[in-house]
Amino acid sequence: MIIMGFSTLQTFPLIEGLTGPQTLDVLHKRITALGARVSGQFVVDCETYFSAPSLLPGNSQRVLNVLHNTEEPASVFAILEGGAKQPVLVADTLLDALLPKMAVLYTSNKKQTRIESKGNRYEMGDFVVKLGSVTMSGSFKGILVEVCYLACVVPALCWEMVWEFMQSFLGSTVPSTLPPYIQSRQNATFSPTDTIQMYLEKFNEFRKQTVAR
Amino acid sequence: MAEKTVESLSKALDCVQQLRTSVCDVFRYMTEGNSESGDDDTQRKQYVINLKETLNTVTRRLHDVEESVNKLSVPSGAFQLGNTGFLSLDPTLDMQVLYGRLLDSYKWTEKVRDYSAFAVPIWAQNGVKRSQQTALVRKRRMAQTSHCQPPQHVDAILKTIGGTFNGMQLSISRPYGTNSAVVQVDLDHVLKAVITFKGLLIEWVLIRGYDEPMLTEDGRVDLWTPSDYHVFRKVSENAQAAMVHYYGPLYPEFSLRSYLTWIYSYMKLFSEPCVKCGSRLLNAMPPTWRDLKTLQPYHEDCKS
Ligand SMILES: [Zn+2]
Repeated sequence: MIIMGFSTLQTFPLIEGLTGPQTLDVLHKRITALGARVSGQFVVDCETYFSAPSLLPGNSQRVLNVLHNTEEPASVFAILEGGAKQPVLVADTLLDALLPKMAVLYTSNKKQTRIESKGNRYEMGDFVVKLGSVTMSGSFKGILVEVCYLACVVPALCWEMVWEFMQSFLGSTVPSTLPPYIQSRQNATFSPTDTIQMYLEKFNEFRKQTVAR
Repeated sequence: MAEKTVESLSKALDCVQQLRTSVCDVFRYMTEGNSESGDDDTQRKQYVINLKETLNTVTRRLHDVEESVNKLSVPSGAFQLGNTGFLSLDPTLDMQVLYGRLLDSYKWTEKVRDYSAFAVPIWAQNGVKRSQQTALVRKRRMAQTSHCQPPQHVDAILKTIGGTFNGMQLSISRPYGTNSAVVQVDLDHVLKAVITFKGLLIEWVLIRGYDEPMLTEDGRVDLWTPSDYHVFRKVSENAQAAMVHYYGPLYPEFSLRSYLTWIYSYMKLFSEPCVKCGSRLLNAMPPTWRDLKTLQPYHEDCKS
């Protein structure tokens, strides 16, 4: 698997009085003013499958999340929720073809559960920034900002520098501590599965928001 | 034979010169005119006689010239520089110029040779020369030992020096013969460097990221492929500049230790702020320069 730098992910609250696209436009202006240039589009999407009642004893149900990231176009990530550890299965795109055939075991209601973050990808030196507009079953949910520093793979070594970079265009919305997910593994080598796990965490937060409302 | 030709040539040239003076005399005499005014017939006659006399000189000289020219032997064929003469026979127009230019440069190099032949004895008289030359010889003799050292000796020195840096690993290989060691340096999880040695002298250095491959497809250490990352390409550039700075064939061990200490100062490449501006980032780059004396971090644009 390709190792590619260290990524961190945060939500960006809508600027008061502005819509989602308008807020994104403000961010676009800020980051291009810094010298970053657009280097294409990106999408991270997630579909959720639920285990059939017959699969597990009792009434317990397991949730299988299947994610794609345009940064890793040849891979499909599958994460089984629940349990102490969340194993990440990295498969090639054949998994997408296989899942419909497993409908007896895992079913999905695509229209309701599909969530994605989509937008511009920017480059500046060794930094990559992705400004994503999050939509769930077609409706806008919020903004996710991913910042990746390609030249370093150990979060503890470069976190302060990445933080300084994020502050330069996200301002005070950047939390002063490492995201909890990274905190626990800041001395380990970062990998694309870590990025995908962080996206899943954030997607689940967005989903809960809708439940609360 | 050649001397004779030269002699008759110079004689002929003399004749031409004399012809020119006599012609000049005629014109001068005519412009001066008959200075004595008045209509003395004898004076006027005298003037015409004198003019005739000078004209006669001219004809005599002209005759001399013709005579000496006739004495000259016709040169055999065109002036040639071996086979290059065929260049002048080339029918294409733009090629014909070449031969002329060739002759020019031939003349030029001949002149250079002559001048240097003159210069050598003059410089040989310089009294200071002797002491300078011996100093040069002494330096060169000492340097000769540092670029040619037994591999065991080089390995031992690299191990001793390398062992003093905590968090920096050196691994030595010799894919290009015993005298040139290729040392791969792993600086924690920050960067990797490939340093090529000739004996104990550093010949080349390249910096790459921690996650970048260090071997070529055939399994050799890759000395040339630059890093994909902006930051390491810049550090590489600086490391090559520092390599020249720390170059010291007289004290190879000392210069090697200094150089590795300098590289070791990149340990906190991504976390140390620049000592000049106080920030970690400038133009999306960390401080990629380390001062050669103080080892303090500076941004590319912040170093003085
Ligand atoms: Zn600076």
